[in-house]
Amino acid sequence: MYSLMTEAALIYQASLQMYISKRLSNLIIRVIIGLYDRRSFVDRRFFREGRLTMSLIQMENVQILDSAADWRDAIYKAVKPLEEHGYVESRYKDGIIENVEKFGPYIVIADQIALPHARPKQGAIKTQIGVTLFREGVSFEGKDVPVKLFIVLSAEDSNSHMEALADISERLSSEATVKKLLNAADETVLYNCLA
Amino acid sequence: MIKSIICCCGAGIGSSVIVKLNVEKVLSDMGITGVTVEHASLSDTRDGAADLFIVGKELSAYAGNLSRVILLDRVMDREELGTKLKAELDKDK
Repeated sequence: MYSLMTEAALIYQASLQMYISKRLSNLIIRVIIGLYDRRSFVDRRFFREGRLTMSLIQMENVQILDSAADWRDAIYKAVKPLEEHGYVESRYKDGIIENVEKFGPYIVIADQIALPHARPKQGAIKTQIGVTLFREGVSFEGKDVPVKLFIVLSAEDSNSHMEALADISERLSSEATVKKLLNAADETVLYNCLA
Repeated sequence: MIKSIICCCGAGIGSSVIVKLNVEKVLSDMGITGVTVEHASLSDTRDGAADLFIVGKELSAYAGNLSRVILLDRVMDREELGTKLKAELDKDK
């Protein structure tokens, strides 16, 4: 009886600790995002270039390719730089494909743009974003418009990439930026549009 | 009353995060406070975990067990989200 009660108390304590640490990390993230939002435009640019998004997109993970055989091949090619540079394990791309096979092409977030990603535990090593532009669009079943821009996301947990994602989705909401991205002459244009 | 919203996608780290950020923006534009917004993967989500769920249209087949759901045709479209969210919130008035 005694041991049962001790065990119950321990479980209660452990779950309380987990709850508090989750709440606390959520709070810290909110405070950081809040601070980030309140910065002036100049400060924001500096902040972005200095520390945040910049570190999540590296030039070495940005590429322009002609075409892919199909969407699976496109994902293999788009994930490759992140794999080569140690941001994801080789099984990460299979995780992405598995998710698309299971749930459908939900990674296509807008016309011509996909955000391929898998769960952190499906082989993400470090939080990072890789960008691949295919000159020739890639078809996804159930999608009318072929996809040209693949923004591959690797997230080591479910929160570390939030600012970067917020930033990218904000930029992608500008039609002018999307046009520039889709017609980029070289990797530098892609990088500058997103980093 | 809707006091909590969970935005869901397949892995819980991509489009669900974008939708969550958009929901927060739309709510603050509408002057609505006191609603918690979280993001999660569909497989980690159970009905009852929030008052309202927001899911991309592609994933509707997996949202059948959720009782109150908004389906988005375009996950990046803040306008669509605003219209649908407002309609949902108005139901409680």
